[in-house]
Amino acid sequence: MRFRPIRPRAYALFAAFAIATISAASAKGVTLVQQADGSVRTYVDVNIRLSGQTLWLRSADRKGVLKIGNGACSFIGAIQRCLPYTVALIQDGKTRQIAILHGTVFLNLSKTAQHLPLSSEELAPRTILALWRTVRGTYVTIKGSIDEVAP
Amino acid sequence: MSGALRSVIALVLMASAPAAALAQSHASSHVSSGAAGHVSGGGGRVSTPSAPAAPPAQSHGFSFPNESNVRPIAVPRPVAPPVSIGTGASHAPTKYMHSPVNGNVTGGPYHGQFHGRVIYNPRRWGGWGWNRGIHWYPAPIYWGGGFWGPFGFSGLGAGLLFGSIIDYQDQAIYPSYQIEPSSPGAELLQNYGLQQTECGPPNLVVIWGPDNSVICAYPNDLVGAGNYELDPTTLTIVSQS
Repeated sequence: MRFRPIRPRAYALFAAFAIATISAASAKGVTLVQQADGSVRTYVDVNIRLSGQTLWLRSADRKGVLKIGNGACSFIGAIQRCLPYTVALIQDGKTRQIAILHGTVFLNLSKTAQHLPLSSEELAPRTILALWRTVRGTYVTIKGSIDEVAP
Repeated sequence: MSGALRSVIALVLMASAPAAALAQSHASSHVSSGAAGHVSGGGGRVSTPSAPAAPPAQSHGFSFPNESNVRPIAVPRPVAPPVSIGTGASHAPTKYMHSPVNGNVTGGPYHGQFHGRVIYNPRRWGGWGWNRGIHWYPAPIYWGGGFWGPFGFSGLGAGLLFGSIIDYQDQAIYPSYQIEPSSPGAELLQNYGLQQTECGPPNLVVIWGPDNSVICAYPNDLVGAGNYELDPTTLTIVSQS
């Protein structure tokens, strides 16, 4: 049986729903990775640390770390929006760069829930929502509470 | 519903593409466009899922099997010739190349020549005051470092062009695009009371931003026609000498 690959907007809707479902059960971050062939992997209990404008995601088994370099951080209301431009996978003693095309990182570092820009969707306090697409067509979506914020 | 059961249900939903498509059909009531970030494209069609649930993600960290040794996306070259006229001359030849994108360079063909009058931002921002004290750094894979909006180079094409500046001497084209309303660039224009317009015609306010980006605006009582360089620290512009 052939399956039509999910288009970007459809993927985003699915990812947001899936994230919302899982994150309600997990206080920590949830990461969805959809490959260009449509296969999806989900990583729950991801530790999320924000250091300056760099985002660090550590897998639940502590064997993998994603380092996301962000720039162009500015505010839309109380939501901070950054643009990711580098992603590195640190795993098995190696660091591998993952080339990305574009993405967005939304951060709510305030103490109250905030609406995402042009949306009725709310981001809980100290929560992050990040989405990006790689050069190879992989979509990554991350949502969860920020476990640590360092200057 | 217990958290474990909820997690299982979510994993079943994500087992395969058809299962994901089914999830999409229920997602509309839970998701708004804001959560989609900048993922573009039309909506997909939903098919009935029938595949069994896939096993949970493997341990051993994260898996990105297709991402090894992939070079970062380069700035697209060349840019299609602009429709509007450059600096009063005829259309640029088709062989003119996209301007070099360099995070350390700004000002285009006028790089280093902005020693004229400082037109202070009417809001008189202190250092990064416009950004709640947060230092703004450019993000290299976006036009203008992301200052004018979250426009990745991969998504920019001739169809989105909003005029350009042509450097006939160096045979380079500096494309311009419409800025995003919630961007720092929009804040800049709002502060000065400027209205963006397509680059190319003469007698415009030409503002050079990060990474050799450029936008144009109609002159007003505060800012006259000419070339200006942006100081992103205070959202101030400096005229060309």
